[in-house]
Amino acid sequence: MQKAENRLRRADRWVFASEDARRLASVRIGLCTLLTLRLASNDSAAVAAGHTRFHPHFYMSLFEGMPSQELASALQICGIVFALIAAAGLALRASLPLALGCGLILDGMLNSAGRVIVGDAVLVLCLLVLLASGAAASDAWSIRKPLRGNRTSNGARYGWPIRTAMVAVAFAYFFAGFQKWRYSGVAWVTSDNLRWILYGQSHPNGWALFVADRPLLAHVLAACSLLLETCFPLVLFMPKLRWLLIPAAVAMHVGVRLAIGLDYSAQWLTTVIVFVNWPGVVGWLRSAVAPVPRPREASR
Amino acid sequence: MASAAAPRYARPFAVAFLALIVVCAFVPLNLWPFSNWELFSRLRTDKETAWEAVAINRSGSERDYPIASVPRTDRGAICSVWLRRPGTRIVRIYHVELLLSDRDENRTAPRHRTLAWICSAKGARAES
Repeated sequence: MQKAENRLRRADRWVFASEDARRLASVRIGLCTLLTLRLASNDSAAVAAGHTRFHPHFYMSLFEGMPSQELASALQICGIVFALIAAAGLALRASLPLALGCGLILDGMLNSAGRVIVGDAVLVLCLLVLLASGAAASDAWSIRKPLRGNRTSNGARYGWPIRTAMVAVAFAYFFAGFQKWRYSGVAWVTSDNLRWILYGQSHPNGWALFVADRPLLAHVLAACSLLLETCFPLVLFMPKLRWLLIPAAVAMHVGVRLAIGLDYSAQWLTTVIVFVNWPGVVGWLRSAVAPVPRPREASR
Repeated sequence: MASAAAPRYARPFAVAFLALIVVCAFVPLNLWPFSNWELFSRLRTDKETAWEAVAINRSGSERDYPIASVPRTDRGAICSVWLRRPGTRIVRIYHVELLLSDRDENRTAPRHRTLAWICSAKGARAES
């Protein structure tokens, strides 16, 4: 009992640790820019124009039928504008929920037309956390910053949204692996499951056939994917492992895109945005680009 | 100066938010964006099934229609839409079974096609 309490306290201290305001601001800029790009490439208007059958999923039951093409286009334009305003850190308490609302309806339209959009789920989950952080995400690196006066630049106010988003991303990978263990077990690796996934496409491309034609390669890739997903939460406790597991996750998603055509770019970009210490990267770039003083100047 | 502390609602929000992700995975529930993360989790076999629609025009020539599985109750409405295409007389819907492990040199799997239902001006008619 005491041990469980101690663990909970440690987890609480980790989630509510102090963080740099610029780190949360970088997550705001990254996620809102990514939302802008996803909204720009969203083809809900085409789906609405195609008279696709409407099978409402979850919150889309609020709609009686598929929203019109005009509404989809209007939501897309408004969503892009609000997401850009939120990325700039302006009126975040209004711009972010509006951008997210537009995105949820447009994604819901695709979902209700039978489209698989699981790749966007992690982005939307992290945006929900950002939304819950209130105005804290616009305390730094914001266009309005000069008008706001001094702000505390460190604190749990900036830490908890980043850490909660990190846990959400880790859960997404872990549960993708967990469900494979749950429904398929070790046979997900040892059987020809991956080969049948690749062969089973209507028109498998050269990448898919390259892997599917080599059973050993298919088993190795399946094992690496399952190991990566199962072990991904370790990045929360062992920051050095981020250098290995996050590039591996990016490689896995790029491989899936090439071989199966499923676009998980929103998921791996969200992972990179949330886990990379961007103020640290900016500081490193500045020091790398800054002119090195000559020895005589340095000695003065 | 702004307070550096987390707001009072932060702790219950973080707990409820993360708990919902866990519950959706365990139950499983698909309350998007709270996914059940089940995509590709079930084993595939070398036997694949699919649906195939073929439009027949007045001269008897065939043309493929891209479709997915259609619920029985929707067939009448779907039929009337398909038959609206100029020149289409009937649309035959086939249930197709593919054996992926028996692919030939041309990389095509053997297909076993069974006629499931027919769309005509009289409506949808099940074949069996």
